[in-house]
Amino acid sequence: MKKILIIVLTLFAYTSYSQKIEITPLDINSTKDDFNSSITQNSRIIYFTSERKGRQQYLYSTERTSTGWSIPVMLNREINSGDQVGAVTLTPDGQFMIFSAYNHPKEGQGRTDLYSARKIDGDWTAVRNLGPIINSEYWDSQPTVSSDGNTLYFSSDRPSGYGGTDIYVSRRTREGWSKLENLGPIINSPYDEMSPVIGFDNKSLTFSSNRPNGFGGFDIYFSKLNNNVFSIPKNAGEPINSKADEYYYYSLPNSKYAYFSSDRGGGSVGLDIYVAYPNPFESESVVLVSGIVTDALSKYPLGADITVTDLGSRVKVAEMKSDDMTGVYYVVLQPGRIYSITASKKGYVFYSDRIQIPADEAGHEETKDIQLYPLTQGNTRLLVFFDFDKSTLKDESIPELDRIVEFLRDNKDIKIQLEGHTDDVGTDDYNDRLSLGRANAVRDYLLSAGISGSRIKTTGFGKKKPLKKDTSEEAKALNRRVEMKIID
Amino acid sequence: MKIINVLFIIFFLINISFAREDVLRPKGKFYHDDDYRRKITLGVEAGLNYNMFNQNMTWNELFLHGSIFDPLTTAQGVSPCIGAMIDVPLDNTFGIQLKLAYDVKNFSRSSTGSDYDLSGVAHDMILEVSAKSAYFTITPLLRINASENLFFTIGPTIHTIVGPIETTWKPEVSDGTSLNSFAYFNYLGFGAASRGSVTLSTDDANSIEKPNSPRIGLEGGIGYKFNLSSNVFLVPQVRLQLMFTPITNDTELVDINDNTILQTTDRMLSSLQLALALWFEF
Repeated sequence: MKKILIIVLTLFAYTSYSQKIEITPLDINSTKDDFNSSITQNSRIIYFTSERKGRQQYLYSTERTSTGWSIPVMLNREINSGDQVGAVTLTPDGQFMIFSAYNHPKEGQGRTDLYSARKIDGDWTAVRNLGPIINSEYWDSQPTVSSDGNTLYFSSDRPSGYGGTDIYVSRRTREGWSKLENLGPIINSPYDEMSPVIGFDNKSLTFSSNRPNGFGGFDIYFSKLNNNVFSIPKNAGEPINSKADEYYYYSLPNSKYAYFSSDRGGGSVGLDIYVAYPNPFESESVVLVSGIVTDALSKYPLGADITVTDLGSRVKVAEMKSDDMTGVYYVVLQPGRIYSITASKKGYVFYSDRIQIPADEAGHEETKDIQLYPLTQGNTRLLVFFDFDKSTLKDESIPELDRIVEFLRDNKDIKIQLEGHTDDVGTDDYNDRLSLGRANAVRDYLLSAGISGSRIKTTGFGKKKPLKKDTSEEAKALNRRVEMKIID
Repeated sequence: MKIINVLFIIFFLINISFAREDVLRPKGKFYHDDDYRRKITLGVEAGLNYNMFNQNMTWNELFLHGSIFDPLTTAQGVSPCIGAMIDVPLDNTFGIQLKLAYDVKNFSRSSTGSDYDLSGVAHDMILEVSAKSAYFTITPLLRINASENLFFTIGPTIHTIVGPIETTWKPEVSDGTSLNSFAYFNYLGFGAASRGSVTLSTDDANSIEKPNSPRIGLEGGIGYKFNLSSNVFLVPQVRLQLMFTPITNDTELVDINDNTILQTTDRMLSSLQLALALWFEF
């Protein structure tokens, strides 16, 4: 009986595993090379490299419409200048890109270099060479940036590697990009490793290699980052790989679709972009948070600076700008973490809020629209934290307090009132004193940072002005707060 | 065998010279012979010429001349053209085109005024003059791509005449008077004499007008490629043919009615061309 059960389970497992993977060419492919699909804004826009205009590679974008992908459009001349331009990676919000270019008019470090660009007022601009820490006199290309924008992987044929082209990594620090590290012999080989793609989970790495024992040419390999060490890469096997070349395996977040490039035939001529479904190598699920930043009074969309900080580690996991034209922002967060999200724009009172992503909430999307008040009549809830029945500031409040200091330094004529509040536990008198103590704790921090006391008033409202009128723990946590109001 | 080896080495070296570094391949991509063939374009086209003729007319001031001739300094007309072309790209932006065409260049002018008879009496009249000619044109062009579909062309154009230039004169005297002879000023000395319409040809042995051939000019144009399929394009184009060679030699003639002497010089004919082409990329 036990043997029969094992056989049945084995057959079931085999049947599940061998679910047929459909490989379909995208209808945006041309008769020339099309590759490197980089997908942003919740899979709404694809940026890719194409040789459709001749023998020069350029960057194109296409947008999902109700009838399919729109006709690809070349990016502007500020990006598409030089002999070869392409191999792009974008942050998930679609506002920042790093691309590769050979002989770009912006001064470079040598042969093909990496460049960054930002989307401002709906157009790509501010092209910058990533500089000598990243670029070399050799071929540096094919960047991929983690969803928090803090880790950059790319391929280079500089001679310091393990042979051929190798994959390197650099991390963003306060001083800029860190010194390059070769990903080491687990990932790199004496052959060519290229087209790295880091998944939205910031752990799943795919790349191409022409190392022996593959299916022919360049094959896709998978590896996973665990405790800062990449696992031994596995060949993706058929039907992802073929006798032809495969590059750029890109898993969509929280989806069973993946995109990759191949010259296997069956599409058009040269390299084409294909869709694989179901994706046999999904990256771990993430939480996609998006929203629109608007003026609280006029309701017009705003391009605001948005910072997301992991309150546990105090590491900024995303620094971005909402779209100047639509106000849309988009960020990828990991489950099981608590984040602060802040938005600021000159002439407005900054906004802060807390996002808690439970560990079991991966794979869903959350909407958080943000309204910014003009300085003249603004108020905002401060993201400062107190333990129950305490008026002592907790450590995770420090980033927010520093933000207030910066705000008051930038706006020297402004006077504020700090208003403390409590939950509904305890007597009125006690809560009045506690709420005032909380406001004073914030005031003391500002004074210690050199802000004049004449600019700050404090008051305590106790439990009289709850944000949420119920007795749940969530409501209580929300009501234990300090608000900042502009009074002059 | 040695020849095959040499050819192989030459082929290899040619390929190496086009293996240029790109963002995917640090050592570049090897373009094969069939890549070149695919990029050559052959096209056929048909269109219309809007022809613009002008000339200088200088009259001897000692004699009267009929006002009917004064407007004949300019004339316009529309006529068809057909052609074929080959396009060879030099790189992503530039290409060389060679266009061969059969170009009909017709133009006409109608005027009202008067002319004098042998007695010196002026008669009101209407005059219609029309000219017909055709050219075989060879036009080598530099193509410059402004975008993936929009392009400009510029280059010299050489027009070789096919057949004579035929000019038809249709005088009509308003008062019904039949002039003994109406002067058509393409005959030396006596002019042509006729009471009605007449067609004169530059092939006529008596004609002092001789066509210039070949004529040289400059052609510039703009076109847009609409994709009909991956390698077939519908291409509307607008071109200006600015010709520097006059259509005939300068002439001097005498109107026998009033002995007026007329000099015609700088008979220039340029064209604005609208063409619709079908291009096949191989």
